[in-house]
Amino acid sequence: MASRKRTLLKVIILGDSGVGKTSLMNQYVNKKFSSQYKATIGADFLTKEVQVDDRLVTMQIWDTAGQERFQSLGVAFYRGADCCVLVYDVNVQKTFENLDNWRDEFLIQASPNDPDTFPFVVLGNKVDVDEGRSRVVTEKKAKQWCTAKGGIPYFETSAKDDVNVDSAFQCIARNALKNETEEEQYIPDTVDMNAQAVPKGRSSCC
Amino acid sequence: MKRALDDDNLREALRYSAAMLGELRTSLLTPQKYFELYMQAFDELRHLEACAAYFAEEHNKGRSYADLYELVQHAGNVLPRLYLLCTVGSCFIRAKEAHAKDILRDLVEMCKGVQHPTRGLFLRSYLCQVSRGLLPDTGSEYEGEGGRISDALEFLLLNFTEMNKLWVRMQHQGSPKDRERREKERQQLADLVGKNLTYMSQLEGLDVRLYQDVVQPRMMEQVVSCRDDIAQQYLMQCVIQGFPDECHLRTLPALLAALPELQAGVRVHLVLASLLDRLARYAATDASVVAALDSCDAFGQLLGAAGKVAAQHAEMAGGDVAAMFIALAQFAAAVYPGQLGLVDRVLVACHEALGERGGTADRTRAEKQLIALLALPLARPDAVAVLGLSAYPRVMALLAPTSRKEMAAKIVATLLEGDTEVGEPAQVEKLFDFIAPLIADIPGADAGQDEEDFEEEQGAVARLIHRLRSPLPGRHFAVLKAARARLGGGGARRLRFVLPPIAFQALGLVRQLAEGGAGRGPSSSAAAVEDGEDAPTAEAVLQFVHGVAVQLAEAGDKPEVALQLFLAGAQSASEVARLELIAYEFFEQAFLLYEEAIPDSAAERTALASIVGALQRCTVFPPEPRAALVHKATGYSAKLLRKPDQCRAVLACSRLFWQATPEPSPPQDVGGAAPQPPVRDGERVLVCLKRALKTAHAAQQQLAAALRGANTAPASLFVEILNHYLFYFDQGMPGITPSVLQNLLELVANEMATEPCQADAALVAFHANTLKHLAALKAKGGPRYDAIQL
Ligand SMILES: Nc1nc2c(ncn2[C@@H]2O[C@H](COP(=O)(O)OP(=O)(O)OP(=O)(O)O)[C@@H](O)[C@H]2O)c(=O)[nH]1
Ligand SMILES: [Mg+2]
Repeated sequence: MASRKRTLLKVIILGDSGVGKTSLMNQYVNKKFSSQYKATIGADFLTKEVQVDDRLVTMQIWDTAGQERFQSLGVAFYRGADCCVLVYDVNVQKTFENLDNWRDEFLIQASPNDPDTFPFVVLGNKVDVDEGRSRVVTEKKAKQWCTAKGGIPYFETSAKDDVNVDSAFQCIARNALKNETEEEQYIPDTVDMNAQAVPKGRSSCC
Repeated sequence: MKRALDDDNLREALRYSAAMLGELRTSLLTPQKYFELYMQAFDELRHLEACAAYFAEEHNKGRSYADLYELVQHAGNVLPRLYLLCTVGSCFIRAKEAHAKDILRDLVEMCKGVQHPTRGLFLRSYLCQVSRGLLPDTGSEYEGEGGRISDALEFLLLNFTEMNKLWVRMQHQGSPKDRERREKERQQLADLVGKNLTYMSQLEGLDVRLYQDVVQPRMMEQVVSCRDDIAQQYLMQCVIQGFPDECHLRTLPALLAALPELQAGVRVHLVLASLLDRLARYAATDASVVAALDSCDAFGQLLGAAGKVAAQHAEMAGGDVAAMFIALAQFAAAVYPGQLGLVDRVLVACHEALGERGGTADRTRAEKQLIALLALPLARPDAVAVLGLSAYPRVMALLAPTSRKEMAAKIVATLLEGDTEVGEPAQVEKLFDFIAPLIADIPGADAGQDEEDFEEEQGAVARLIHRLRSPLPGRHFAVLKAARARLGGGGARRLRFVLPPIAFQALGLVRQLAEGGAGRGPSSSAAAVEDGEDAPTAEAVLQFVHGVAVQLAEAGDKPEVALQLFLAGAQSASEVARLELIAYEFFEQAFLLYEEAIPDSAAERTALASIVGALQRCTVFPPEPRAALVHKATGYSAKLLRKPDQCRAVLACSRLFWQATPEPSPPQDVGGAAPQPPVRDGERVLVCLKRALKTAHAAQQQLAAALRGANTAPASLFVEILNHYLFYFDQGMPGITPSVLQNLLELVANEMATEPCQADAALVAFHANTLKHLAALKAKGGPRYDAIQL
């Protein structure tokens, strides 16, 4: 029944409010863009089927709230993530500076097995604004940061003009998949919340 | 479970799922822990969904979901059953075997079966999550027979309403002593409720009209009627942040109308600030937005709403009231940077709102906020424009005296920082309204202030007075008169700081008038006529200075300062305006003050030195009046108490009889008297010098008699006298012959040879320098020096 066994990749998008996380996801999944700002409340995902080489995988893309007041419930959904996407706005310095915080927060909360090799991807969004004239974070600076963090792939995107969005998510999927297959080999499916859990032998045998 | 699915044993799978979901029935977990458990269940249910889809594809095409939907209704417990129903229901819709609107209505109703708040909230959150993308949204594949946008909205609005009720009810469950913990847990659950709004705002079919007609009224109804602090605080933020700007612009009246209706515990100022922040950012994107804001008088609406909130919530803390107006002032500054009138309206409204409350409980916080509000317009590049804010002093008056004074000091500091000039009498009046606490005593304002603080503060005011100026002499004079009228009432201890700068500014004006040709220069008079302000005469300005100096003298606080003013006035009258009578009057006043007010001999000595110095430089007086003045000055010198003082004073007086030749200056028509020729009266000089020698000898004997031989003061006097002789000798005064000088040189040399003098290093140096000076004069001097032996 191998044909039925689909791979599910969990991807988390993080970044300051207003950098374009929701817009990037909507552009990628629905091919739509809206110039209106509607704050994301809480966290939620969209799914998208992607072909990575010869495999068809399902990406579960989690969009999160950048505004702190709308992250009340904590970050339990980080659990089991296969890739983390960090987004900043190339026109706003602070959003770039905060990447460190978002990355640290993710590593602490998701506690992946090997923090050094856990796949991140960085997106510098809104490169279209003012034809790049109002940009304050240079590509070089961003790449330096990515290199310093162990060679994180970097993309310059525009959710508005659909620049680099597909290739960025292609890369995200590929890295997530690499992580997923690596993890699968030695991570047991642990459900330890409650003693009355469904018998282990039957519930965790995939 | 996954294996069961692989075996196509769906029944089995459902049974395990139900067992697993049974864990969600726990009541022991905090919301965040429960969320973790939920996430695990959620992941499992994804698999169930996937396998159910497979099952449906492979078997019983057409009937599969209806059967499944039936099947899961038999799960024993309500919570697992509803999770399964939601899961299968979503598959049902996706397979288009049922109309989305029907299934959704069914599910959202059935979920009422769970009334435990945490469980119910998570269940409904799950329902939303699985139905995302399956709603009959405009343009969606489930639209049409599956329903319309209105059905999608109805589903989400219902779910939102139910969730909010569960969330609010939580507040009233359990014992009151757990309130803090419960509120914390409620805060954590907030996003589950709020997320409904995100789902709504992301619907394609939601346009501004639908928002205005359906969504906003329903949301606001729920928010207002739930009467719960936490829910209202959070949901107002959700509404403001979660829906686009256009929506708020269109529905501003309704949104604002809700604000005064909120519970007393809601921090409305934060809600308003959040809205204002959004609107300001929106306005920055396009000029048309500002036009749209204007066309509905958004600013007026916002201001009115703030006023209403304050009026209806008497219990609202003063600090929070002020915070609303700060947000409004910031909004005005961001959206209408040039329009200070709007800031004034904010201040008026703030004054009204706060004025009514009188004493506020949170005094210090309210004060802080008010100070922040008042500081806003000061941050503008043209800080002086703040003087145009008519309500500003009124708002300042709400502050406690000490803070009011601090604020005034801040205004002064800000105006001093820039290159502000205040050049209108009316503006000057306003300025002094603004800094009123600095220019007169107000009860309670000086608590804890020491003399040093006071001096610093008044020093700043004095520096500010130098900024009161206009290039038009007539206006400048009017400004100074206005300043004096206000500052003159500040009490004796302020006058010595604030009156001198006014007087010195006026003296500057005298110079300007003189240089412009008796104040009637063509340029200034033309401009002045236009303004209906004639340039004053130098005489009028000097009379003004005289009045200022007299006031300072009468205040009696620092007579030395008043004396200096009289002398500066005399000098200006004499040398700049060439008005003999006024100059004389100034000297008279100086003498009067000297006689009556100078407190001690040290002060007398310096005062007299100043008088003599000033008199010496004046050239306006004809011989007779001058003689009278000189006579007085010499008379005072003789009356000084200590011999050394007498000696030095008489030495200084000698110069009164030997005026310097004036520097050749371009002839000026100042309309006054021509300078008198310099006085050169060698005889009178000699009389003074001899008197000085005599006095020095007398001082020496006095000391010897008092057995204080080690004092070198008399010797020092001799060296000083020698210097004067040297000066007049060099000037070629006939009465001083080489032999007179030679004798004096020897006398001084003898004095210096004594032991105490040799021990006085400063004196030895003074003497040596004097001799060096003489040597230099001799080197370039004429034959008169030949006879001098060094
Ligand atoms: N010009 C331009 N605007 C963009 C781009 N991406 C997003 N935006 C705009 O930026 C604003 C914020 O975008 P969102 O996608 O809502 O930002 P977010 O990161 O999801 O924000 P939160 O939900 O608050 O965390 C919206 O007005 C978007 O239209 C882009 O690539 N170019
Ligand atoms: Mg977002």
